Order: sequence, then C-alpha cells, then structure tokens
Amino acid sequence: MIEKITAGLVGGAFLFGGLSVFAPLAASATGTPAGTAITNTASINYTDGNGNPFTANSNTVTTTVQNVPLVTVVASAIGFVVPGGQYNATYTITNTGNGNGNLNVSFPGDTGTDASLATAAAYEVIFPSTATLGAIPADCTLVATKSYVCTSVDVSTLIANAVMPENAALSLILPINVGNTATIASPAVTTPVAATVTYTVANNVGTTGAVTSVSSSGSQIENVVADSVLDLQKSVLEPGAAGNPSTTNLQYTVNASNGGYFPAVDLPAVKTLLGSSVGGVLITDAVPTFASSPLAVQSVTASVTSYSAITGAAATIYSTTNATGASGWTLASSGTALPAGTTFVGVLVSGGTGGTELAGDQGATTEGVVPTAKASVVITMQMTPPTGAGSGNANAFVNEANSVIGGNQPNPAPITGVTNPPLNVNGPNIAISTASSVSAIDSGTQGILYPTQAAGFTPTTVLQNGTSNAVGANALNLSAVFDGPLLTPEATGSYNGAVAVNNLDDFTAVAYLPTGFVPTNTSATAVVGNAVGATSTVTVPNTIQNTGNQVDTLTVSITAPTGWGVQIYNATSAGVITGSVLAGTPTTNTATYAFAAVPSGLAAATANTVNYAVTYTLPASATAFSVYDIVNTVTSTNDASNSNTTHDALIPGGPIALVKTQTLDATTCPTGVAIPGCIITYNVKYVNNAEAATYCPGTAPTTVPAFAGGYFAKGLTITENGATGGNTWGTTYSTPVGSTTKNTTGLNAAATDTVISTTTFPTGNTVGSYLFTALAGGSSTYILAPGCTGNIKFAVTINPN
Amino acid sequence: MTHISRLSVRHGFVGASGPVAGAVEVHVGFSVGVRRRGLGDVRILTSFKSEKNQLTKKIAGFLAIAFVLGSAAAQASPVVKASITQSIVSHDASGAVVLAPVAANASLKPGTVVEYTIVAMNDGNEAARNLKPAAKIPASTSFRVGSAVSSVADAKAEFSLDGGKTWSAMPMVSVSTPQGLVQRPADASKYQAIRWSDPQSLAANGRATFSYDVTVR
Repeated sequence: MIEKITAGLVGGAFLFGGLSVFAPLAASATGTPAGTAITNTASINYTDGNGNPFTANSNTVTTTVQNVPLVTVVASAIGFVVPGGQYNATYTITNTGNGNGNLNVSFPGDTGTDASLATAAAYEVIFPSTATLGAIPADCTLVATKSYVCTSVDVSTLIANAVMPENAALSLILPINVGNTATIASPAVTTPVAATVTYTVANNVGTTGAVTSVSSSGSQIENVVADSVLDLQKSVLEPGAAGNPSTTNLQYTVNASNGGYFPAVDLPAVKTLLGSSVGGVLITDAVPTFASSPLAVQSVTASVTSYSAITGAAATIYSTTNATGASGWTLASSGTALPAGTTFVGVLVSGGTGGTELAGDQGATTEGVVPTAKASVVITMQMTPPTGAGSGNANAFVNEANSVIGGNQPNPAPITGVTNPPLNVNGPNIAISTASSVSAIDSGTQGILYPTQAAGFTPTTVLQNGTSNAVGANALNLSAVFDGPLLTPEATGSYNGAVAVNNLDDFTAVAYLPTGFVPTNTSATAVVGNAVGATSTVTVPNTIQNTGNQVDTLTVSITAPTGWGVQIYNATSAGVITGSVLAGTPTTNTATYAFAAVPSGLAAATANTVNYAVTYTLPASATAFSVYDIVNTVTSTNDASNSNTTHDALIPGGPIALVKTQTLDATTCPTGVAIPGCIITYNVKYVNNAEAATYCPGTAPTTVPAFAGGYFAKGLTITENGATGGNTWGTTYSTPVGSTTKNTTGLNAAATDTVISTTTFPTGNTVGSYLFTALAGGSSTYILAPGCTGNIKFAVTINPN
Repeated sequence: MTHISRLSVRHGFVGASGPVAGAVEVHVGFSVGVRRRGLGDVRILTSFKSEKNQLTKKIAGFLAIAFVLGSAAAQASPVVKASITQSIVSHDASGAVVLAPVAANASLKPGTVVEYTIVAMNDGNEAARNLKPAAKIPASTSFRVGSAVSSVADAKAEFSLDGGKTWSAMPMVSVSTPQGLVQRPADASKYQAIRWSDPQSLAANGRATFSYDVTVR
C-alpha cells in the first residue's frame, strides 16, 4: 500500500532514529555550496522474540563539499542586423560555481571573427549589487554604483573585475558596428569574450584535487539580413495574349515586394522629387524605347496590397518626360494615357502604418522573382508596340523597373559615447549605408538597365537589388520576303507576258551562247531552234530580301527541268559567285538553301538582303531560241506561309530567230514556178522569241527594265550574205526594206528599220554580188521587245537563160 | 531472575599508552555494563595486557569472554550493533566499480558518487526480528536509483519523502494537471531517507549489510 506522500518536504524533520534535522540548502548553479558538510548516521530498529523494540544507532560519517569554480559567458539571443547596421552584443557572465569567486573579464580583440564587424567606441559593464568591484579601468566612468561605461580604444585589456558570490552575474554591453561588406544570410560572430573565475580554498575543505580557477568564453552571434529591399519583377504580354485584355497594346506588369527583413520607411527625398505632399516609396519604370523613341503609354494602374502589420498604404501614379527622370514628374490619372514622350512611369506608395509602406517579407521574394501572390504592389501598363523593321525581333526593346526603398534597420539602445547609424536608402547604384536624408533619389537610379542590353538579349536576373529583371519585348511578328533579280528583290514583272505584272512573276532573262554553238532556225515557217548539242551552264544572280519586322531565315528552293543541274552560291552585288557552292550539284535539278538569320530593320540596310547566284547546267538537248523558265522560291521560316518567287528565263542562243521565206511574183511567175524573168521576193522575219507575239507591247516602256534586258534584243543586225562567192541565177530587183512590227510609241517609237548596204544594192546587180545589213529598230536604238517581230524584204529577178 | 537486556561497551580503549610495536605491554581498561531491567547496571571492570599484533585478537577474545559471562548471567536477547561507512564510487578502465574509502578531512566535488554501507551485527544470543536499518539521503545529495542493495535476501528498500513519517518502495506525489491532481512517482532526488524491511531475522552473531549510493549535488 502506498502511503500518503506530500511532495516538497525536502528538509522536513527526520523522524526516525532520533536523528538531527537538515535544513534545505540554497540552490547553486553548480550544486551544494563549497564547505557544506554532508553527514550521515544509520539506525536499525528491531525487536526481540517478545516483540520488544530496540534501536541501534551507528556511527556518524561526515564529508564536505569541495570548491567547484565555474563561470559561464552567455551572449544575448541571436538577433538580426543589416550591413552597415549596429547591434549590442550583450554578454551575461555568471559565477556559476559553488562559492565566492574573483571574476575577471577580458575581450581579446576589437574585431569580430567576422571581418566586417568592429566594436563601437565604447562599452558598458553592469555589475550585480552583490559584487565587490575591483579596479576600474582607467578609461571607464561610473554611471551607477555598480555600473560603468568605458571609452576604450583598446579593449584587449581587462575590462571587468569583481568578487561575486555564486550565481551572481554581470552584464557586458558591447556595441558592434556591422560593415557594409557583411554577407547577407550568414551569421556574424564576434570575437569571444573571455572570463576567468578564481576561488580561494574554503575553510575545512580539503585541498586534494581542488580546482581554484577556471575560464570560459562566449561569442555573440547575429544573423546578417537584408535591410528593406525592393524586389521587382517585370513581365510583358503581347497584344492578345492570355491575360492581356488588349489586342493592340503590349501589357507590362511590375510586381514589387519588400524582400528585405525590415519594413521600408518613407523617403523624404521622394516627396521632394515628385513634389508630392507626402513621402513614400517610389517605384519607377523607364518606358521601353524603340529606335530611340519611348513607346506610347496608353494607361497605367497600380494597386497596393497590405499585409503584416503595415496597412493603409496607397499607390499614386506619376510620370515624366525627362530623359533621366531627375525632374518633371507630374501626377497622372489611373487608366488614362500618359503624355506623349513619357520616359518614366512612377508609382508612389505612401500612407502606410507609421511611415512605413511595405512590410519585409523576409526573403519570400528575390530580385526579379516576385510572384503576383507575393506582390505588395502591382503596376500594370498598356503601351503601344512600335512599328518598323526590326520591331518584331525578339527583345527588340528591353528595359526593367527599378527603384529605391527606405532602409529601416533597427538600432540598439545607444550607450554613452556610441551613436547609432542613420537610416539608409537602398536601391540600385546606391552605396550601402547611404543615409536616407542625404540622397534618397539619384537620377541614375531610375530606369537603369543592368547591364546595358544589346539586340538579341536574353532576359536575365538583375545585378543589384532594387531593380527588376530585364524584360524584352517585340511588336507582333510580321514576316515579309521577296525574291527578285539581282539587287531588285521587290521587282515586279511578267515572265511570260501572259500573267499579270506582279512581284511573283518578275524574272531575269538570260540569253547566252554556248561555246561553239550556232543557233539556227530549222524551220522555214516557224521558230524551231536547233539543239545545243552539249551541256552548257549559265549563272543567274538574284537577291532575296527580308522586309518583315524580325530576324528571319529565308530558304531558297529551286526546281529545274529534269536532266538539269542546279547549284546555289552566294553572290556579290555585281552578281558574281563568291565562295563555294551552298547547295545542289550539276546533275540534280533541285536545290534548297536556307540563308539563316537575315536581319531586318537594322542599321545596315544591305543586311536586309542576300544576293545569291544559281548556276544551271542545261542538257545537250536544250534548243536555241527556247525560253526555259525556272522558278526560284524564297520562304520565310518565321512564317512558312510567307513566300515569294522570281523566274530565271534561260535562252540558249538568244531569243532572236530568223525565218526566211520567198514569194514568187504571180505575174512574172505565172505558173508558180521560178522561170527566167520571174521575180522572187525574199522575206527575212526576225523574231524576238522570248515571249509570245501577243506580248509585244503596243506601248513601249520609257526605260528598259534591267531585269528584262535579256528579252530585249539590242543592236539587232541582220546580214544578207547572198551566196558564198555569188551566183549567176538572178539579179537584184529591189532594195531591201524593213517593216518591223515594233513599238509605235515610247522608247524606240521614232526608230525605223533601216537597211544599210555595205556595197551598193542597185537593181540589176548579180545576186550575191551585193550584200546588205539591216539594222532593226533604227540606227540609234536597236531594241526589239519580246514577242515583237520584223521583216526585211528584197527581191531578185531570175536571169534569162 | 536476572535479565540482561543489553550489553554495551561504555568506553573503548581507554588509557592505552605507549607504542604498540614490538614486545610491549599495553594496558587497556574498559567496562562492560550489564543492564538488568529495573535493577540498573551491573558493572564489570577488568584489564589485560598484550603484545604486538596480538592486541586486537586478545581484545576480541576478552570481549567474547565478557559477553559469555554476560549471557550466562542474563536471559537470551538480540543485541544489534549498527555502523555506517562511506566510500567514493568510481570505475576502473574496465568499467568495474571501485570503492575508495573517504579519507579523513576529504572534500568531495559535486557530482561525486558516495556509497553508504550500513553493517548490522547481532551480538546477542537471540535473533533480532523485524530488522529495519535506515539512513538519510543527506540533503546535499541525491539518491541513485537502483543502487540500494542488501546482503539479506528479500530485503526491500523503501524510501521516504517526509523525513521518515511515511515509507514506500515507490513514493508518489500529487501533480496538478488539467485533469486534476494525479499521482506520479516522485523523482529520486526528492528522497530523504531509505530503509530496508527484513522479513527474515538476523540470527545471533549474524551480520548483514545494506548499501546505497548518493550523488553529491
């Protein structure tokens, strides 16, 4: 059976055996006070056979409690401090031994183990009332009976000495300045404070094994955290993108949050800058520029979400057209267009609790990463995207938001001789520990791009706090490509005269004469050219052009008739092949090549175009006077539906064919047979076979398009050489005369065909004795448009037998 | 009939003088009181001499004689003597417990473990019954749980939280909880005394030991 027990009876009367009572002992950090006697006596109760009780007491054994000197150095709880800030390292140094001790405290160094720390210019020591102070250092002044402040430059010497009873503690307050280079998110550890306690051997305490002096040390640890830091994240949505209500405007969004540890305070200088009635936190965003012009800002809205203990903050919109944002700020209305030429948008956050605006989120956000759910401030801006070449290029315009924020690091209660650091202003391009009262806003802190970005920039995180990520945007992509004759990619034409003139049917006509080939018409009634008889090559230069608003890769593809060969080369602006073949072979009739990343809209206009040359290998079966039309197609990679064509028209032997016919005069040749006296009229028809006769323009161009040069016969000279060595079967009857079907107006409207005899061509001369040369188109301009024809006639009388 | 209820040595080695080394004669005087209930003491005075190294033996022999005389002169009765010793408990390299007597004038550091050993000797001619040795857990010490041992089979240790008023093998305390007062085992540091209850008797001339450890606070 468990007897009723009452707790807490330590020290109660000892009732058995007649033993003495032991009083309770005073509590000690270490244990029983030194010198305390510990005695013990046993007793034995028993009975005899008759039940008579007896008690036997033993001897008494005694020992004493030995000295156990002990001292503890306990630093104050871990706190939070910012670079450039200050904190008080407070050490509690206790004689935790079991007796009176002489306590010596020293500070081995004046810098912390963290190189960024430095002791302030003074420290304070507060002794317990039970302490008996020893020598007071020379540079110390009593500020109370048991407290002094020391203005020590060298604290490596003794800083406190006193005899203190067990469990008595003194306090050492050591202000520490944190350097600007202190690493955030790492602990700052001060140099240990050392303490030694010395005991004298207590009376009646044996000396064997007694320890009379021990030492200990302790360090203050502070967590270095970021002061108020404005984390910003900027994003952009293209027109019509999900989340952007506009189908025509870009929508920029800036999310802001105080990613530091402490709340931000209002900056008076913001008030000065904006001319506002209150100070606050100013978030600025440089309006993106394209081609040196800022985008038009159609609307700005801003909202503030309160959290933590800071409420009441509101957002006000400002703008300026000042190039640096250093002045000219005016109040703007939410949701309305800002003045043309606005360079900066500013949102003032003010009115928060106690002059603070944004509670520190203690690391929930970081620079460039502020999810909307974490944002305290959200700014939304609608801007008109730019137009023009290059505006569609990725990141055609890049910028970022940035701002400054008031530091609000807590300062410790100052002790005599120590001054707290001022509140800071934190932001990009602002040195740590810059007092907010000195330079809250610097023109250079607004709209700065870190780093300066170039075209093709890939958005990255920013380099300094107070700036957002850089955001690149571009106008909606507009792809446009052209393929045309050399240097005229946008040319228009009708390669066959039948189709409408446009930039798809433009063409380059190339008449060429294969080596050793004599183009000959093999028909007496029509144009039927003879075969070349051997493979031949001809090169045609062309030019492609990207006229879209973005960088594009243009792919040229060519398909020639079966049996041909196609090879693609780069070409100079003169149409000369440069470099090695890019695609194709002399024996394959197709070739495709992608001219990569053809830029658009950049400073060098020529960079928008690429000249290329195609070398065609024609088979031996190719015939004279034939127009071989090969289509070159260029296609946009950005938009495969966007393509353009040009035609290469190849004419072996040239386009001009001669068809010679004879007509017997019905009167002199009544039977239709050439008899003596019969007059035979010869007609030499010259034909520009490049296009159908129906093409021959009734109205000639005022200038000859370069691309069509291959189709226009220039300097057309027809020579009648009679018969080699002459003949005797007839005599000339008429002088040759031309009757070209040609332009009646325009370039060669005034020209007439003329026949110039190298010798006289009088009537009655022997055929073959007199040659003539006919110049089609006149003596000054010799042009025969494609499809046009002409005739040279002359007559011969058959000699009598 | 004369009943000798108690035989005790009133005075120890009184009057011993001179060195005991060598063949010297030592005179020792003592008295043995024989208490007869209701009649007062009967005093026997005697003396003896001894040579070196024989002193203890002869004294013991003499005492035996004296007690025999006493017994012969009185009724059978248990006569239990109690003694207590203290030793410092440590462990050697092998972990075995080493007991070192606490030297005179020694001091102990807090944390030192002290073993108290109580020896009960029944010098009477009758078994001592209901033997209950007891001792304190000194105020500056704490009982070491599980350290109470005895040479007497079935001897059970009991503890007191109230200076010996009440005893229990597992003293309980009332603890206030949200559910009200509940009974829980008391912490051993609260123990103030220890005793053993011996269901067996300590026979005449029997010897029993009881020990326990405390830690100096």
